[in-house]
Amino acid sequence: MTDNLLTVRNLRAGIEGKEILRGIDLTIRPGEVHAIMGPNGSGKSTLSGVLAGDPRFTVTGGEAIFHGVDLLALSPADRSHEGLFLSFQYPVEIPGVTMVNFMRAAVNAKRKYLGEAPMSAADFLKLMRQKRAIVELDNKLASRSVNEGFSGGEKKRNEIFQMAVLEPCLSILDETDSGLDIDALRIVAGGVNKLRTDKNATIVITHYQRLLDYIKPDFVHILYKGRIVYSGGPELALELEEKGYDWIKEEVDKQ
Amino acid sequence: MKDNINTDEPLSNDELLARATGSEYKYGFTSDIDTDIIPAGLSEDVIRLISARKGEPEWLLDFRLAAYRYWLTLEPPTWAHLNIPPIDFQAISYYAAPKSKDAPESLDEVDPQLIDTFNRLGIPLEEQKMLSGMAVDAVMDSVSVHTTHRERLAEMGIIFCSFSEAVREYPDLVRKYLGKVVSYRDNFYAALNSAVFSDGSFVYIPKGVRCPMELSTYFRINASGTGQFERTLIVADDDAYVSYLEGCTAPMRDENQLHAAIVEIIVEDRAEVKYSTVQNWYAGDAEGRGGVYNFVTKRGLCRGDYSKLSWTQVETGSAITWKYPSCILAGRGATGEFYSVAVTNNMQQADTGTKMIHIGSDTHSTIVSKGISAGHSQNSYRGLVKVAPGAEGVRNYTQCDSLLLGSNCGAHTFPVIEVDNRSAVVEHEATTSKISEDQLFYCNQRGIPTEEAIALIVNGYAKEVMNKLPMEFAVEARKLLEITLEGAVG
Amino acid sequence: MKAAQSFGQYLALWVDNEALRQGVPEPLATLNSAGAEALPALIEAYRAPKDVPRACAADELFAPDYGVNLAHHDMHASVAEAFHCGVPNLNSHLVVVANDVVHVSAPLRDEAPAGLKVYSLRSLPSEYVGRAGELLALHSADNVAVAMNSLLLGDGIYIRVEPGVTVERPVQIVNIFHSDMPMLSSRRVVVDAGEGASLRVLLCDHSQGAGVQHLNNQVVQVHAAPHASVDLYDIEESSADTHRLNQLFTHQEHDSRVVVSPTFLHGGVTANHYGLNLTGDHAEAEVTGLAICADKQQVANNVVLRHDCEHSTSRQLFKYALYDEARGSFGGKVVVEHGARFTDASQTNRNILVSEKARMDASPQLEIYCDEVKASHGATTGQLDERALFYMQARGIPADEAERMLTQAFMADVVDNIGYEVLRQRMHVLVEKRLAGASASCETCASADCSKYTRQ
Repeated sequence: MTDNLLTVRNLRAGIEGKEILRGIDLTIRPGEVHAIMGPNGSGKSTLSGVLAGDPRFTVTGGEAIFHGVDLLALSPADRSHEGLFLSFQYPVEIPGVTMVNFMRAAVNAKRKYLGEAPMSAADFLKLMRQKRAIVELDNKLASRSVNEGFSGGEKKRNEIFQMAVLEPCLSILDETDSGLDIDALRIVAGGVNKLRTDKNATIVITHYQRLLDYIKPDFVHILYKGRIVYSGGPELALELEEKGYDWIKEEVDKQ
Repeated sequence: MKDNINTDEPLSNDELLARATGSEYKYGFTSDIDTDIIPAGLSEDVIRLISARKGEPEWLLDFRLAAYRYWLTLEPPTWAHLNIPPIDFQAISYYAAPKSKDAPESLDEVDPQLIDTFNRLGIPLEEQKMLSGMAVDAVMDSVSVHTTHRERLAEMGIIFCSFSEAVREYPDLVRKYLGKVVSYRDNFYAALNSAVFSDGSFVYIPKGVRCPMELSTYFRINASGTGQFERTLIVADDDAYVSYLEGCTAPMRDENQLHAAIVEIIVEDRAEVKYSTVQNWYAGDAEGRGGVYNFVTKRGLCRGDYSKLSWTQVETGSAITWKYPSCILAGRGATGEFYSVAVTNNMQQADTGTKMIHIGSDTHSTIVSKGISAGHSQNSYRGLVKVAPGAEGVRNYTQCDSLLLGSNCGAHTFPVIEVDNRSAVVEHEATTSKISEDQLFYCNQRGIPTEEAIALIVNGYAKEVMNKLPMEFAVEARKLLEITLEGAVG
Repeated sequence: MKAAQSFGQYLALWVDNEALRQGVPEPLATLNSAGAEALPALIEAYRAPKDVPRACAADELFAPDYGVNLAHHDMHASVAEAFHCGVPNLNSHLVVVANDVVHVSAPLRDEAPAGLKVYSLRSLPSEYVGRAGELLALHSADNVAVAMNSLLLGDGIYIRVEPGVTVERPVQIVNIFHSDMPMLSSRRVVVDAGEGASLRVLLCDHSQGAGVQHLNNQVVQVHAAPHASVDLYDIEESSADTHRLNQLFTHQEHDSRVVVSPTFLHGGVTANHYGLNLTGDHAEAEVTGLAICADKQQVANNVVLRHDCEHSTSRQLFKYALYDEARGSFGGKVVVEHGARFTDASQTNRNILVSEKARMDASPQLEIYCDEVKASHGATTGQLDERALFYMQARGIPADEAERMLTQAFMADVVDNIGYEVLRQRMHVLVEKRLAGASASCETCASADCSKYTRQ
């Protein structure tokens, strides 16, 4: 028995018969921030998708234990209810479904899962208002369809806003920095930092060091060809920034 | 008042229209060739005579007679958006052959007049034109006249010959595939063709062979009062590839000529067939006199897994076109494509399109149809996309656009979509519009005369389809498009 | 021959029972005769249409041996008087049609706003008989089903709005079917909107009592004079045993505007035919419909929209969500006649197949004889967006709820198109309820009152 939040052991997964993750091991404890870095195509987004239950991917082996629960056995919705949050690299546009209806459905589904009564409309609106402030999200966005017509920055802020509302214990930020200018990046990272406690943990998936200037990781892992080939402290990210990924590729490919 | 937009353009719209309708049919010459014609009329005796002339085996005569007897029970189809004058099927001669030899062994034996005809058509009949990289089967009236490049193809095991020859040399192959994709019971004209077909091309590409050159058939109706009823049969065995071109012309004549062909294609596992047509039968004159009735049944069976059949057609000729090159996508992962440009001018009528029948899982189809109507013509797209209950993961995308040049023509779209499997994604889009005034003005302002601008814009409009044509054909097709539409501005 | 049998039985019934039909007033008597006269030839010429599912063909629908209320017995007069349809829960001018007997509500009969006249065709004031007869004659024998309607019509509704009059509250026509034995009801509505008049009509179909077969053979005629505006909303929320053959014809003069908006929530086999004619310059037509079909329901919508004037606009939008073994069919034809310059026509059909055995046929057609046009159509058949489904699940929304929300969102633009706000809001709720699995029969729908009144 451990107090690990997430334990991933030898996780293998693929898409359409092609193996992408070839045995991932990862342990995350409450309060920690882990950065997962790696070149394009190394499997970063597959890892986040598999943990969240994206039906495009097929798990072919290994396990993921999320505070004692067999994560891979749960439906995507139940994973969310258990406290897993994925900030999508490409947040999906859902025409015709307003943000308010969407979030109310999400919040109340979770409350139902936890055996709680649905939130009153007044309380819900209050909650929305509070959380919106964290990422400086415009009030008008609430009445618009989910992500529809949002700018790149708005979409990412909207992701962090949803994270604030759902209060997960493990957040996976998949390339949250992609497509953001420096101001938007600061707001998004600021939001993430405000939501950090010693009870929850964050996985930051990124290609660049840039985001890690704002969200300081405790651990940095390098993913390459579906495996974590290096793990280290924050200094590893700096080293990557300086030297690029080529030296890692060379070293691994030599083996 | 003077038109100050484009001083280079002295013609009024009416004059332009007049010029368009007056544009000459470039291929409207007749060849003075000795022709052996069976007297007009259709009966069992005529069919026996055709069969005997060709020295056919018993089974083929039986096939013809069965088709004929079935044809007698049918009425011509009336569902198309076409106004077809009654056709006197007894007034047509069902067999016309250039009277040279039974089958020419070499070019020397071919009537020089005939060679001249084909030269004027730009068909590289002579072997020295080998550089053009195309093997040609030329069909004059009803008979295959000469096939080029045969030896080279034969080395690779490719059979490319006239249909009659195939019946003689490869009876088992022909018998195995004849009527398997287009049954003689398919429709009125398919039955008629099956009864009286005279010749055509036969292609067989063996397993794993990529045909190194474009195969091509040029069809020409020459003799007056005759119908042309050719049959093409293409078989691509596993992993084979072939690109096949078909070109059609006919001389100018006052009376209507009937062309009722059948094309059957069988595509086995992972094989691919590209079938391109540039159809330029005589369209009749500005008043709608004469012209070819082009009533054709073309269908391919993608029987093999991951097989592919692609139809590309540029239809500019014929008084009336009734034609729906189709794909039956039976093998898993099979792909069907249909790219069409149909141009009608003057009194022309076209009702053309395709059927994509999805039977196998993961089958995909794409339909791109561009209709262009001018003068008093009527131009219809008619299509069927059908997804059978057992076909999982089917995708179809259809786009059919119509462009109207002038206020007296019609452009119509009649698609039918039947989806019996929920995993299918079927999309259909269509637009109808007139040629953009803005684009014309923009061209005018840059000094391009209206007539040229129309050609430019229409070519751009049809580009997506033209790009699918093999190089050799694309140039010709583009010219045809321009000629057909010369000055047709509304 | 099947057609001869299925239609002929009713013609024979009508001919054989002359005694029962004594004293039919004008303009009904003339209409009945016109139907009788035209039918033999129409039956002879009848061919089952190929573009709709077999069950939606007229001969199939008429084939069962339905009872016909030839003597025009008023079977549920008291029921109808008391009935208040709560579906839209709105304040309306109410007309109730119980099977085929028309009851104009007392307030509407006695205190209708100035310029609005709503009459039963049986008790038409003499000054309207000529006009109503004229309009009825326009569609007395267009096809077999219309002729059957003309033949058997025992009553109908004539709605007249005087020139320049805007009627604020909608006229609501509640069709109720309630019978112990299988019945064929012939219903007809004539809307006659004068120059510059404006009117909203809401048609609701209901059935009470399950297990009894019913065919509603309905004809609706809309005549929009210059600058008139007519909105016609049609909600079908009946039962699996209630079938309907509904034909709507419009004639639009210049600068008029007609909106037709059918919503299928529950029923058996439904075949709707819309023949819309834009004959005056600058006329506008909108047809937007949605169908949520489950079980073995079959719904066919066929639109023929004819532009025969300049600067006219039409828009069609139809959406289907098909569950279980339901079958949907959409046929839409836009005809732009020669000389109908500056026509702007668009047509969209989108369908979602939710279940394995559901099926959909679509045939969006354009027939264009004029070059100064903008015409487009699009049709898609597919599934809900899988990425959106996953995104919602990743936020904790269970799969079935996510599906429901997406389906509702899919339908939202059709409902949003309803110009009458009170009804629009109500419709959003009805669609939501329907998707939530409430088998939308009278017992469960918002009109809970219905059973209370009809079971007395």
